[in-house]
Amino acid sequence: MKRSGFIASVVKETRLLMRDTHALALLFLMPTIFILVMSLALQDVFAARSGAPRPATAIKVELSDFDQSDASRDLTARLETVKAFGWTTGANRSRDDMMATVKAGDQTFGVIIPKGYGEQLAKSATPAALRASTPETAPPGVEVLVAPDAEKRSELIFLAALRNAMGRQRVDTALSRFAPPRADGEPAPEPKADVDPVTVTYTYDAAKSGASPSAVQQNVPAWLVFSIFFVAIPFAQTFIRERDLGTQRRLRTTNLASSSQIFGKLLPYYGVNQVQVVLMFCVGIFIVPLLGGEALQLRGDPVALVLMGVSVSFAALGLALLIAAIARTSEQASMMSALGNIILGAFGGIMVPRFVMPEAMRALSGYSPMAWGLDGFLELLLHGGGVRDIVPEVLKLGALGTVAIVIALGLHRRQE
Amino acid sequence: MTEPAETGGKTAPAIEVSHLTWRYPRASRPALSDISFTVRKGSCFGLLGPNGAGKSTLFSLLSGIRRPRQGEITVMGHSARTSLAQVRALSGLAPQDFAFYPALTGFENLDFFAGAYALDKASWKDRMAEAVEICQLGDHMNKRAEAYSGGLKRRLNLAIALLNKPAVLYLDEPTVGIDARSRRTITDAVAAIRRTGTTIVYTSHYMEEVEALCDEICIVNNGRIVSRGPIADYQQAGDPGHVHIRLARAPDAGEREKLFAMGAQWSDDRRFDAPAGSTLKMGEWLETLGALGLEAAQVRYGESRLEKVYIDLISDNADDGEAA
Repeated sequence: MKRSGFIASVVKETRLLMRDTHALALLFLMPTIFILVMSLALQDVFAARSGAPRPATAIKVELSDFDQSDASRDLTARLETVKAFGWTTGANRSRDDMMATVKAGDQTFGVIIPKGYGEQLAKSATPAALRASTPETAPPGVEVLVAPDAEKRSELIFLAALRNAMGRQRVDTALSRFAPPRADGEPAPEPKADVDPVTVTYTYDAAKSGASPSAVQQNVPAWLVFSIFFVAIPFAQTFIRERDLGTQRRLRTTNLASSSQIFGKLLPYYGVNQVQVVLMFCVGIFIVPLLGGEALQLRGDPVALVLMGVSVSFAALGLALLIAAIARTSEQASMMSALGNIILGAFGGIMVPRFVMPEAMRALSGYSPMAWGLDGFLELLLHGGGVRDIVPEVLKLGALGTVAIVIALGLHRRQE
Repeated sequence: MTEPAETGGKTAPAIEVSHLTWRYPRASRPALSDISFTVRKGSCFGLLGPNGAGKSTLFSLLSGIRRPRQGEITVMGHSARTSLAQVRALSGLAPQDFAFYPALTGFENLDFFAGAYALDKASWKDRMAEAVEICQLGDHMNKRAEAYSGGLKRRLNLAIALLNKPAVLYLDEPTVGIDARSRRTITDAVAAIRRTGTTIVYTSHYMEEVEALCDEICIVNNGRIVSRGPIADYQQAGDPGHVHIRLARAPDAGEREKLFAMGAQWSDDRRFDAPAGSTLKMGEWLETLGALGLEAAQVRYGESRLEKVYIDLISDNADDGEAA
């Protein structure tokens, strides 16, 4: 019974990999740090995308009420119900102070309710004024101060909310005049519940109102895919190192099949990729919550998750092998794999979420294998998909890996 | 001697190379041109030549790294063109580079190569033990190879080549860049291996090693064989030997004149080369020095004639052209 060259290669490569602290740091530490930093840093960006509770850094608005009437207080209360904004009320600072604060960017908007607001509202909320207002019966006005760095979109939303609140207040005031007079001793009616006529259902998790994908839900797959593709750096390096040392040449005198050599090398790196998948998921589930972020939820078919991990790894190892076959020196290999990964990551929505990319760039990102991997994982983690939902991504990654491996083996054979 | 001669004699050849030519892609001239020689079984065959002469290419073809395309190589009767796997199985190569994994220990390196050679599961540990013993690596097996001294690295390189108990062992400058003690360990190991009947093909730039170990040599330059024959032929060739003497003090003019008259060729005021075709003649020189009251601080006799012949041959065939 002969010893197996393939198994010897696997054992050798595993030993080498375990002793390569730089490679291990690159493959495990780097994505962990990225996941932690980016998940926490982008927490609010992702939360602002859908029905999540109001983010801590909501658009800040300060309101000064110089009228101090029932009507101005009512308007203040109505505005405070708009949760898209972080309201500061009650200080009633002077216009100059507010101007300075808003100009400095400490508040995004400032609202000034002028003296006489209530009086003017009363004049404007008559049936006649509602039918046709004159300058005397015009609706009361408020002044809005806008910070220099306020987003136009935020400004439009804010003004719409403000106009809506003021309009409803005027209508409600007018309608209240038609209420029948209360009899003596009759208690004041309970304020009627303001029933929202719009029902919102969040598709991410219909059972949990307002649930939305958190930053960690999107960052874990992104940096996981990135780290899986990063195997190209140590893999190509070990290949070139063998060439430089002369061991590859020596092995040609041993009758060890080149397929045993190559696949004996690939297998440990495939194992590393699978450990990365498990580890990054664990970071998302257990470590991110410890630092104040939301925990990763493993949604989707577990079989599909495994299939996705295998597919991304297959494509990444194919590219790594191709780089190893093309590069002549370790500098070339490092350059090709590091630069290639960063470019694929940048286009693939790893570093910058694709929803913030312009349309043209988003279309371009469809050609990055990292985007395929990310799409597949997001299909599972965000949409709770199954194997059928990731077939296109699996096929694309599989095709890329196969083509890359075939070309690399051809080049390897030619070099021999 | 300079004309190729049949050195196989009655002993069966281990290696037969005939009309071997090799050209690298896009190279302007062949790295090897019409090379033919025979290596006897159990012999130690020295392959000499300057850097770029074509030795490494020849080694790669002999050891099965490359398959010959023009000409033929047979190793123990197996053609390298048609039975490369058998040729490889019969060969062991200790390349000039440290062709092993520095991050692995000596044991782990040997373990891997034992797998690569597909050694028998039942006996690979015996093979390893044998190689370790020959190369005296026993105390260093659990240290990482990157921590080895240059001499230990050379020994590990050799031990790997011995794992498959090769019928033909190719040693490409196995002692380059190491200290005298380590060189001795390796040359002793090579001599021991040779005694087991293993055929050895040996390259080195150290002529005294070649003289001590090899019984035939082949000098290659610019991809061609420029000389080939038994080592003894080279040792007897050329001018009679010289004895190199360094005196403890500078002789006076009269003493100097007397020595000059005997044939001394002065290098400086204390050192001279004296013609001495035999040890008898050398004795005469020492007697003369004694009679003159001159003390010899150093006497060197038997300067490698091989080296002189080698340098002469290489110089005669000097060519600025390239060869692999």
